[in-house]
Amino acid sequence: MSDRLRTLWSRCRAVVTRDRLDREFDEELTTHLELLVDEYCRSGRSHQDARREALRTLGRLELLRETHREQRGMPLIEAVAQDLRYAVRMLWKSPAFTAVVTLSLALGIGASAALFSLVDDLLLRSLPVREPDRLLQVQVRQTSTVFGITKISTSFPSAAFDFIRTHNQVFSEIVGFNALDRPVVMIDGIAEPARQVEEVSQNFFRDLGVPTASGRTPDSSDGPVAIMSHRFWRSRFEGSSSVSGRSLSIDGQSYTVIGVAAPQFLGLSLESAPDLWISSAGLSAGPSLQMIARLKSGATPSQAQAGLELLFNQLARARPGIVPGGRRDEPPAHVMALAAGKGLSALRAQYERPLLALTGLVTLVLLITCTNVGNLLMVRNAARRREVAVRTALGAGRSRLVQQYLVESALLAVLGGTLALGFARSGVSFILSMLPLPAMPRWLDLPRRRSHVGLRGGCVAGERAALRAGSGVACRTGGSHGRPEIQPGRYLDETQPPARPRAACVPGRLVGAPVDRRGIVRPDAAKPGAPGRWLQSRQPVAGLTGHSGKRLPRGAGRRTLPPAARACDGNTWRPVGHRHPQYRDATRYHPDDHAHPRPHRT
Amino acid sequence: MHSKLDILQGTLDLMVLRTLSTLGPLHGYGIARRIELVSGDHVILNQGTIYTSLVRLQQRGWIRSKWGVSDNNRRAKFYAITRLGEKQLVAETEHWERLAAVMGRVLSTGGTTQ
Repeated sequence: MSDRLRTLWSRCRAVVTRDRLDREFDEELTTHLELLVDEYCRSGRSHQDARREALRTLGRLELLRETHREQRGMPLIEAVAQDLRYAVRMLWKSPAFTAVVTLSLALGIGASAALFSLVDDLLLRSLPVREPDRLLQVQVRQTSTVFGITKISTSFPSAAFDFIRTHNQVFSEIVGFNALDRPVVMIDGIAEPARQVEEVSQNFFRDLGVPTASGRTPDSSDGPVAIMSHRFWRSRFEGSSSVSGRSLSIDGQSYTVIGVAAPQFLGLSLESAPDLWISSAGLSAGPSLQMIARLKSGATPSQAQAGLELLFNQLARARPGIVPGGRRDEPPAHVMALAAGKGLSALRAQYERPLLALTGLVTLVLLITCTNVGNLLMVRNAARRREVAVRTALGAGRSRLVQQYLVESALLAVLGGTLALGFARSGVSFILSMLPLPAMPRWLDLPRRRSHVGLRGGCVAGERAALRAGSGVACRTGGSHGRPEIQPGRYLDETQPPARPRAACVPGRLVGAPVDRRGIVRPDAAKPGAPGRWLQSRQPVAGLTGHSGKRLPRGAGRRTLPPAARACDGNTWRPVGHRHPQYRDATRYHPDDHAHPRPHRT
Repeated sequence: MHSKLDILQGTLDLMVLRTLSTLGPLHGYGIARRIELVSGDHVILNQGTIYTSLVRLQQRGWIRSKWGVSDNNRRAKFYAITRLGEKQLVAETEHWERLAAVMGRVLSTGGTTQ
């Protein structure tokens, strides 16, 4: 061990055993002093003279103690700890001042943090893929000459995708993806609740450079294979290492799971987060594919746009109708190559400027807050002149006093910052509630945003019951042996025979279980046997009925809810309130929640 | 000229190590008195500063301490040199002798080159 490490270890120990070491050093000094006094007495001096001489020889005791303490311990840390204790006492003595400063800071920091969270997620953060700055999305815009309406096409037939991929000169890689429309996912023969699935080209993961948490990415020799999102893997398979090689069925087609995407990759779109990506050798691609391309090094977006325009024109001439603008009766099409490195989002263009303007305003507010707090501190310090004078008289230097004030300020900042966390969370919710969002943005689903989770008391009956909540539908099934039995697509309405009691539906969504901020029931916390409750949809979806088979009146409010509890599936369901109208669209719920709904089809 | 010598930075540690190596375990007073005696009272030593040196040496592991009883029956902390301290003493002594020899040569020749 080097001298420095030994010294550091010794100093650390000395901080812990400070009092004992102080006592021991006092004892040493006393012994030393007495031995000196004895020596001087032996030389014929009086005891008083001997003691005076001994003290002179030994040095100023208080200074020696201080020097010894500094040498053996960690003076800076000890001084900061001392200042911290003192600062706590001082702030405790002035509760009004502390409260005003803390609240001011909390509001200022909280508002800034809330807004910056949104700006960061929506505008700043790049996709966790290779070279995101060179990714472009291919779009075709057609402006009607009659009405002046611009139509934007982002999806193209797989034949167009193959043509562009083969003939382009400016892109090093082109990948395609297509979100499946309400796919039926079955695992081990049991249908899953609604999952988001994207069909992707085989080169999607490899060419985008998406890292995997486990397993591998598809290659050209693979048949139908699937990659799971990290979140789906954790929630559905509890992070099992044996998930690779499992088979699952999507819309009747069997796929083999070959890997799990890295946790930070949630897909290319900010407004959705797929659970599964599937690919096969012959990309069926459904009706169409969205194209994401990576520019070759040295190529510019304008070159890419020109090249694409040419290819699209060729394609339109060769196969009219396959791409927009190919027919004579259609308005002319303009191909665009737009930056996609920060993910695809319909919200970005809409909210970019307001968010930036708001951020500027909030930053100004934060500056004003800081100025106010600074003024308050200055006024307070002016009132502490006497205290400073006493400390200076006792030997405190300027640096020691400055350190004391800095520690006090830091303590206030920590208090304000801690409180600001709460304000920031509420702020994000508030801002989102103010925005007329067309869909539930993905950033709300990011794992790190799980801190938004709030608890609503009570529990839903049924151990690990499969809960469904949303568009006026809540389904719950209870399997045998206490195991959940998920039966997606089973909605009880007039057509559902009451002889199938396992699936029980009530209008509205289940509450009572812990729910996240969007109101999604978390079934893992459901306790068996507890009475369930349900919320009535403020805007019931047409065609949905309660388990009783009676349709609730449109716009039924809290007051019009039937006061009596309902017996359903062996449990009691009691109306307790309304679902927020923002969540009426079932597709906005994230599929990771076991309780997410399935759009009802009438 | 000064009748007594100020101690150069770092030399007190070497003196303490030498003292402990020669006399064995000693308390602070004993070390300070020994240094003063050996120097023929030419060294100005504020005896309290010996404890700063002792802490420094102990932190580096060159000496260790143990409570004991002094000759006049008082409880005192006795310091003893460790094996690491002995090695350090040899190295430091060699370094000091080289430095002193160089200084001696330079000063004896008046700083002129031969």
